[in-house]
Amino acid sequence: MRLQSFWGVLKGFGSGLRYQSTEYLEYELREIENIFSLLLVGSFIGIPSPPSNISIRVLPYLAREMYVMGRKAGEMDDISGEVFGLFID
Amino acid sequence: MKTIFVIGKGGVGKTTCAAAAALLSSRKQRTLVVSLDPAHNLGDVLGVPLSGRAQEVAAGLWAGEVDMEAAISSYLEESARKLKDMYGYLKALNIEGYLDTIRLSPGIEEYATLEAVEEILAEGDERYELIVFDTPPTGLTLRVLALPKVSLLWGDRLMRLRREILNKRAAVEKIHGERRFVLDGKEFSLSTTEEKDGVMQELLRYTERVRRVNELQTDPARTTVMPVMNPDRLSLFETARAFATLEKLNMPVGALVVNKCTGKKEEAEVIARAEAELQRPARKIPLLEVEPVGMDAVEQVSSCLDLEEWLPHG
Repeated sequence: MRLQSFWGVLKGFGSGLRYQSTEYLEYELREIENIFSLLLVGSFIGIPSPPSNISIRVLPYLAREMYVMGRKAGEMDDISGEVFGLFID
Repeated sequence: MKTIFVIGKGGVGKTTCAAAAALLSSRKQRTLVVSLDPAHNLGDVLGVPLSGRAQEVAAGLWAGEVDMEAAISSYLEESARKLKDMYGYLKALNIEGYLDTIRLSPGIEEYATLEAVEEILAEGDERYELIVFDTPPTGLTLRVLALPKVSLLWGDRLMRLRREILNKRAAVEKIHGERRFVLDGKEFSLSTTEEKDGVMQELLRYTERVRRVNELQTDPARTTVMPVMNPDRLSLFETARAFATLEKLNMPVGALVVNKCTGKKEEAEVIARAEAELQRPARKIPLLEVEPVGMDAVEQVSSCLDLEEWLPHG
């Protein structure tokens, strides 16, 4: 019994470490995915963007990135919240 | 297969010169002359009604006019179909609305024209030895000719960014195992390698296509530009500006054609200036008494031209 709970603690510890190690990586990943989508649809909000030719071809594959962009747009007021969230254990 | 792009301001006589050059060429090799100008005149000049399908108008000479409206529509419909396939279930994403907006967006005409050019080049590769393009007015034409280079620059940037995304996803996947992304009940797997990533594959395919056009248009063994102007200063200024852009795009330019010459003294000055500024000989075509409409008139114009000055050779 004791061994089982000790093993359980180790597993929990391990998964906690894994999540911590990728938290910043995933934050960076979301940032780049956001930039990628912005670049592609940028012509609609007046930022330099590729020929819409390229955007139209690539858009069908961008469900994830568009979702991230939408979320980020919604959370624009709380960027500091997202960044500070990285430091909370 | 070689190509000649005939460029110039609206009304200078591009179409007539394109038809004349094509007629000369058709005596020795299979030639296609095709109009990309939304305001088509090629059929009027040749005296034959033309369509989107090339038809033989003289021995060895085929001619056609691209239906730009139809080209733009089919380009947008194809995009709509792809978007609906992926996002159709997402009612919140108003795809029809999005595409209607794009239709009016600056640039759509340029992309559709470039795609039309690509199609003509692909289909014509085995069929003709020379393709002569009668182009839209200079502004649109130069933007179309610049598009491959611009697309390549953007394509490279986007691919670099995409590789970063894929690498980071792979790093996360190594630690957490394969992740799936669920949106509105539909599951998407997040690609981590270039081979499995739809975006990367689409970017690679597209940049490969425009790279081939860019290589063709900058190869003096395969492409020449024939600039057509009239013997007046405004025409010269515009031609000089177009020439500067073509130089930046590394496009090979042949001799100048100065059309509608009447022999007045002022004209000689303009022509001399044009030759000096643009560093190439000017070939004069006289203003014809009767408007050049019909094959006989095109023959008359062609007798003023030596095709060798525009036929691409290395």
